[in-house]
Amino acid sequence: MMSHHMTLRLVVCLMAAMSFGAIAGSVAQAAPLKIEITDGVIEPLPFAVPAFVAENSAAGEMAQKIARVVAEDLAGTGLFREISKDAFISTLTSFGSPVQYADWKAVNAQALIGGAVSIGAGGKLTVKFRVYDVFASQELGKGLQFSGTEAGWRRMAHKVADAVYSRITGEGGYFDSRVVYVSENGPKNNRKKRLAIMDYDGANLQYLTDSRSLVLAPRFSPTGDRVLYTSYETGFPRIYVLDVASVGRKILQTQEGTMSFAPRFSPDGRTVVYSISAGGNTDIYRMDVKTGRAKRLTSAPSIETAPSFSPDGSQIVFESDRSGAQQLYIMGASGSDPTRISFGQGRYGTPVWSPRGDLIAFTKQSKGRFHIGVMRVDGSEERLLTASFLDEGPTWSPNGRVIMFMRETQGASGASSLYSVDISGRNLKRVRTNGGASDPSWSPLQN
Amino acid sequence: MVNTGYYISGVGHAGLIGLLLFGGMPVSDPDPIEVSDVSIISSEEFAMLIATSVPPVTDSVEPQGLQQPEIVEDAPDVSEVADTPPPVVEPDVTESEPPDDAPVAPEITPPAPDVTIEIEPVIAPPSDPVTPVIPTVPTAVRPQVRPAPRVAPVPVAPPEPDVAVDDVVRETAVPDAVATEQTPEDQATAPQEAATRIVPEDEQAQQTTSAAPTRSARPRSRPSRPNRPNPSTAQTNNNAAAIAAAVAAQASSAPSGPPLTNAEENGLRRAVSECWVVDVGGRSANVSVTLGFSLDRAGKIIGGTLRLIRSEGASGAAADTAFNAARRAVLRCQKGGYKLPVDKYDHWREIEMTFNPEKMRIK
Amino acid sequence: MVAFTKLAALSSVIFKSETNMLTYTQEKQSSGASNMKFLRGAVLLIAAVTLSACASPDRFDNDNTTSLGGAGISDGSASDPTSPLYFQQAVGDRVLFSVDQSTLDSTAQAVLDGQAVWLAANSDYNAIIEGHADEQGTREYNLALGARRADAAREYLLSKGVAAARLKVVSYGKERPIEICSQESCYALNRRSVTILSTGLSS
Repeated sequence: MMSHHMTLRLVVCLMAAMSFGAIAGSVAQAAPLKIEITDGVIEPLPFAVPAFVAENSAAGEMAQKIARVVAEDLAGTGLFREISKDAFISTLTSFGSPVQYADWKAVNAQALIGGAVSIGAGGKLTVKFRVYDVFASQELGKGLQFSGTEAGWRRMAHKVADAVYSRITGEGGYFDSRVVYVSENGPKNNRKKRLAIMDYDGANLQYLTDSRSLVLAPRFSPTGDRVLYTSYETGFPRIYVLDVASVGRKILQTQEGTMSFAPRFSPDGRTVVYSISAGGNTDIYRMDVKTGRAKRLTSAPSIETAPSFSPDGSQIVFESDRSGAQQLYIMGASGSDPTRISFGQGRYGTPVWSPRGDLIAFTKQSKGRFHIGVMRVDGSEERLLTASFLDEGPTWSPNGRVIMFMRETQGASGASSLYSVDISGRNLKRVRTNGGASDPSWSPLQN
Repeated sequence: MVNTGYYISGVGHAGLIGLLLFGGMPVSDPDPIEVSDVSIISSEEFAMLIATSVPPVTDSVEPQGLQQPEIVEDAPDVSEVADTPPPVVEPDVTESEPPDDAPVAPEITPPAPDVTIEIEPVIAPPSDPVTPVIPTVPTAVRPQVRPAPRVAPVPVAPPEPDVAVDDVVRETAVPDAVATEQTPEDQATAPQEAATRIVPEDEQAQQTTSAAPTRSARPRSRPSRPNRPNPSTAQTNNNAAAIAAAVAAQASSAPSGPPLTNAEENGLRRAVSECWVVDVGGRSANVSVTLGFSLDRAGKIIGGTLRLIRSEGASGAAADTAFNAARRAVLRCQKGGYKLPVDKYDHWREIEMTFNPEKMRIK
Repeated sequence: MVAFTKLAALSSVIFKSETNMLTYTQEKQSSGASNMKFLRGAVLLIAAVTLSACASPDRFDNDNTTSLGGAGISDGSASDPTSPLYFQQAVGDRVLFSVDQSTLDSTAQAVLDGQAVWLAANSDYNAIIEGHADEQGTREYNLALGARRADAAREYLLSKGVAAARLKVVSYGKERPIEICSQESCYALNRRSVTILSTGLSS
């Protein structure tokens, strides 16, 4: 196509350019090119979990089960996507061998998780793992090893997944945690309710009460060993505290002839805030756990309920209809300076302070629908994450990243179940429970 | 209606008297005990409950149900004696109605792992020079933002129903006159569907009903669309690319050439953007990081030059995470080398790239 | 079975001192069993004497049917003006409320007037007033709203001369609907306060 003349000219130019470039490069280095990237992608990060190495023959099945739980934990966040083993070019045959990064780049794995499992004398289970950043061709942090009993294998898998999650996201994990909730069965007009506890992923279900008495809204203590809840055992709603390990329970002594409900622990576990209804008026109280002394925090003729402490314990967010409709307010932990924070259209209830401290999750009713939403603690930047006939009662994951809540379906056959959603509004999914479920409360990370 | 209630009540009472008088229920019945096992306690007693573990007051009626199974200790188990695994109730998801028996006290909390040891890293082999080919994503025009599993700068239409999601776009092989066996490679694939922003559920649900609370879309500005590089360029070798670049820049006689045009800069910007995965819900989304690196003439990052210049917005794990994500972006999307005009090499051999997630961030 | 549970619950109130002893007993198995026997005898005794007094603390025991005939006063029939059934049917045991409201309209006041008269004439009976809400609201708020409604009814009865000691209130919020559809026709009937008679033994 090109004439000889043009070709010649091109070559000359090219040579000139190259020689000049070399001179410029050695004499006067050009300033770096500055580029700003403001658009990225939001998508699950692909990761690969090759089969965990069974370091002795007894560990074969356990290695598979643990690797599966780790992969399910990670993929379940919506932040990660597992790459099918069918796509793998190579695998990790031993825990200590070098990684062929090229093989993992080729299948577009951005993170690689290698693990090994052994079962020693006495059933001692040992799990090791490493995380690799494939494209940086380096290990992300150091490998870790956990030991425990075989019975605790799921918790060990969750701990591995928590560590991997932490390495990649820079946040604490939430897999080694539990959820206490109200298990529901039966039709709407004769619903049986009882307390149940399970791992965050639905495994290891146990019932904490029978279903003879109506029970509502269990709430974990800051250490996860006790649960506050409301029961109609006496015929009236009263607050109970239940010891998770022994299932022993005691009633919280509140004024005779009143109804008490909506309890929550303070972050240090020393105080309980709750509502008392007396004479048709509902107000918020706090009780010092040691002395049993109660202090009334609100005294308006309106409804004040659903209190929740800030993570530092200095403030309480609650709902009140003092303005004429349910709205959210924040006051000092002793009841000082109640300040309204929600101003949007609709009604706001069940506020829960995020463990990170920066957000408040709530239930919003607007135009005949229910939403789970979050706002900053000053009420700004409200975002609704869900919408349905009836969504209610948010609870935060231990790392403040995920919200679990109850969703009830419409109509005579309506039933409730638990859902979770990432605070970005993505990854809405149903949580596995045995039968109907409501009023979830997420525990802190177990230690 | 009401008479029915009376009838039921009457039958119930008669049955009750019968039960009480004539021996009552089988051994397992005395439910009344359980109703009576909670009492009002004083504050001291409440404090005691908080401070100490109280024996269970709720007992299963079955005698064997009262037996506490062995608790597996949380302490490091150095013993050679086999542990008795505690009974763990696995939820049976196929069962529609859970057993409604009294609560079980045993082993509510599975044992925790007890030992945590750090493991030294393996010495990694030199990184393999092979890099996977990551496709440029075709543009799709979509009138309304719809939810998609992926949010990207450029929307991607959902794949045809029978097309697998893949990172590489492959056309289905056109069968020759002579039929050949179709290999998996031949299956058509498409990049994963992408929206340009997160579409929350309420918006999804309300797009038809318009009963949703109002929520404004996050404003998006997009760099002016650059000239797309000719796809065939990617297939040619570096010399040919250099010549082509020189041809494009032939008007210039200055060896280092003029600065990059907006279009050229945008090409680089967009190439990296496609690989920058932002965790918008994470704290790392508060961090702006600036990386420095050197490119060779082929547009590939020279080993060992990639470094963090600065980060703003947070420190610690969030900053590390932001750096890692930015590093993955530039390494993953360099493919065979960023496509930049060779005659302007001195303008792009050193790059400072800032990753600012402010616009992406959920608030 | 139904009544058995109720009586059991009743006995638990009566034998509070016994149950306290139970609660703080360290030996779970043996003492629990012996106390069970003791309690069963006690239940038998009480049952024989006051069979009719079966107003359970929790009228909506989870294991119960939703029978409204909980107040099983003997000889009760709708034609006997002193019977709870007459109270329930002829006088009217419930009043309804508007959405998110606890004010009593004239219809509600008329029903409560009748209740006050009946209670004045039948002083053996006490009452627990239940407050209920429809499902359009959050759980805690609806509990508080139900308490408002029950208290509105109670205050009205007090104003008509019913002694305060005879009236208790309890709120069930949205937990115990009687109608289960998700439409206003059902919601209207669920926003209610219901006056449940008791004989005073369950106080």
